[in-house]
Amino acid sequence: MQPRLIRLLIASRFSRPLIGVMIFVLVYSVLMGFFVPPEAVQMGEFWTYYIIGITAFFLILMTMIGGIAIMKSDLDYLFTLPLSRRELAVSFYITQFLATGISYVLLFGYVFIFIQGTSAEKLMLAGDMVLIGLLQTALSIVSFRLETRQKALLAGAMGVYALLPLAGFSYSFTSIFTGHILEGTIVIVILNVIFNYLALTQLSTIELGFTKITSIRSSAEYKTTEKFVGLSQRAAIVRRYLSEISFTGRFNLGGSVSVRVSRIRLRTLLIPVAAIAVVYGYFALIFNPADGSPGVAVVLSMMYLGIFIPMFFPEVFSHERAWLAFSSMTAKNYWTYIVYAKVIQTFAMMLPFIGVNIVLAIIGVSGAVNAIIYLGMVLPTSPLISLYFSGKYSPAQVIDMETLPAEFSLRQLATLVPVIFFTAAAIVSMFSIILALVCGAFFITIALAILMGNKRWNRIVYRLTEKGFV
Amino acid sequence: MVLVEEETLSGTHTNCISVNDVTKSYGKNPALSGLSFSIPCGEKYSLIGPNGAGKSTTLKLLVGLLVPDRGSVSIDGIDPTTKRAKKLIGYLPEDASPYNTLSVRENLEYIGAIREVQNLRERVDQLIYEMGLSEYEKSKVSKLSRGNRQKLAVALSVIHEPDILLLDEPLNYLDIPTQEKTISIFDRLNATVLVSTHIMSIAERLTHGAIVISRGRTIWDGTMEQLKQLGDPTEAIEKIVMRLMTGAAPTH
Ligand SMILES: Nc1ncnc2c1ncn2[C@@H]1O[C@H](COP(=O)(O)OP(=O)(O)OP(=O)(O)O)[C@@H](O)[C@H]1O
Ligand SMILES: [Mg+2]
Repeated sequence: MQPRLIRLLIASRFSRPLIGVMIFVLVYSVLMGFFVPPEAVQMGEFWTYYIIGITAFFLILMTMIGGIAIMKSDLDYLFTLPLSRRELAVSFYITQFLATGISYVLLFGYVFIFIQGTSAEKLMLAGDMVLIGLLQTALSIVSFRLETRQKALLAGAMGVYALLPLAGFSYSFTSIFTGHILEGTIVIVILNVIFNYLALTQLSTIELGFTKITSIRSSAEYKTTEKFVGLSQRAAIVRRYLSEISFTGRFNLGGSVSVRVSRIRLRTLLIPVAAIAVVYGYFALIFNPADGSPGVAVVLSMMYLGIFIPMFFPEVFSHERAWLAFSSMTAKNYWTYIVYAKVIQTFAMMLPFIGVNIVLAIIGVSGAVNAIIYLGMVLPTSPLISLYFSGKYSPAQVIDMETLPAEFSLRQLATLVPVIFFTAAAIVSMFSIILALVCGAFFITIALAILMGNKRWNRIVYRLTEKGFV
Repeated sequence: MVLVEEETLSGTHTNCISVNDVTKSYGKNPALSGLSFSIPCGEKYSLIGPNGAGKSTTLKLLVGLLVPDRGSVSIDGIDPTTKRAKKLIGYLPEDASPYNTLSVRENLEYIGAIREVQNLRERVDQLIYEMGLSEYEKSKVSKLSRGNRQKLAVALSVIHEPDILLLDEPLNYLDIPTQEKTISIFDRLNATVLVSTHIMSIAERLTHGAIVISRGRTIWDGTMEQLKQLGDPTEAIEKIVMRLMTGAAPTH
């Protein structure tokens, strides 16, 4: 074991302030777990659905966007050093855990508030959560070499398996949350042994396989091609940006910077979105309180959309090329057309949810009308606000798809500030229809104000260039 | 092109590229300090200078990707951020990277559409053929070799047949036949050219004039012939340039 190697890896990947915040949140979470009484948080039996849903979500996410926190400099310098493969693998595993698995451990506090049982059981559960974090880490490593379809299969299998305890099945890792701590723990241990074995094997051969990984993972040609001949400027930009979807992997305090762009047709994207919307509708119906206040399922779902949707946009621009885009068109027009495409994309993704909410509103589910306003007025402004924010405060450009642009830092998390606004707006919108409309008007006004003004967009271009964007 | 030459002759405005007393810093780090030069329409000049002299910065200012802190730049007498200037300019940065999320052909079609190129399909076919990219036209750019990526970048920079070419180390990574091909494509445009390079043989192939800068200032400009005459006839041009550059360094 080489502590110096681990220190080097951590220091070259995480900035100090970020590590500070990670430690703070961990301590906060643990303290909260011990001192906040369950009565203080009104979740009722929805809690079980919630924690199991989150667990499934994390595992799916990590498997789908999994990658190894290797940087270009590692390939050029570190791997050429005479270090033992095992030590390298273990050190990489630890940094990988800090970048991915730790996000699950940070949930610890929230879980501990609600868990009932003897102290032995509680202790076991605490250990299980760390183990699920390790499982998450292993999955993110293992999935790195898989093709998209294989990844989706693995992610889907883990997701379904995680959800089974909701149907009364007690031999899943999430059955620790439905009162079957022993069975759940056994499953967790078995899965950990399998996936961590695969992950460590993979890490210990990583430098040999690196060039191969890029070719295994995806083919050298696109299956579908887009035609741009004969299109106007706007039509060309809209066609490209409607078929590209990016997602910022800076989703947790582990700061796993993963800037992924996939090409996926809007039609194809709408299928899973519609499925999720139907599941949402089901839970909103079940957890519809009699007193007329918005149900916990509606509130949480809107909050999660408020967190999730804006995260599609900060990196939209990271695959742009200033030398091509802004030497061809004025900055304002180029940005405007991208935003136009992304607003259409967001609207399309919201439509299934809006549809479900209309049905819910007719049935009389409380909060559904507020949700329609939020989904139709507030969230569609998120592409513009997120894009502007990241362009102004933390622009990043991805030149080489397979390696990380830089270390994880707090500044990168700044691009996620709009997420806070949209989450807050989701909560505020739930109080009353009037407040929801006020929120809608407010966000639309801000968005229009940003869109006006030529100078603003030129200034962003200068800023990008000064940051080394080409 | 004819129009530009007529304008040049009648003297409406003679300079297609001009940089007037420009100062530009990155934060506290000065890149250009009072740089001035101009290039008459139709002329071809090299921008020569040591690493960090400010060559790339100068080109970025001329394309409108940066704005001067002080002084001004103009393209054909107008601000480079305007639509009209953008139509005139073809820009190739150093280590150019095309769109990673598009294929070779999609890159050309996309930029062609945005540049509103006429007969785009023919133009794309022609460039793919000329740059020897036929077997890669469906390839993902992220899977191309560095040299093939540079070929695509060259094609992207000339797709709209620009009147003013701003090139930053344009022949990097290219094999010798492709270098020749690229030079002939640039020549055919009859454009006003500014090429940043370290390699004197490339400077001599592509241009007949030279602007030597160091530490963000012009230290010499003139024709290649005049540059050679600064030394004795047997002296290599690299030696002469080296003397110019070291002479420009402050003597403490
Ligand atoms: N994005 C940036 N951020 C900060 N400083 C920069 C940036 N780009 C350039 N500089 C600085 O500006 C100065 C001029 O850089 P520039 O890239 O224009 O030089 P160059 O003449 O093109 O050099 P080279 O021959 O190495 O390409 C250098 O001191 C450089 O460190
Ligand atoms: Mg340079």
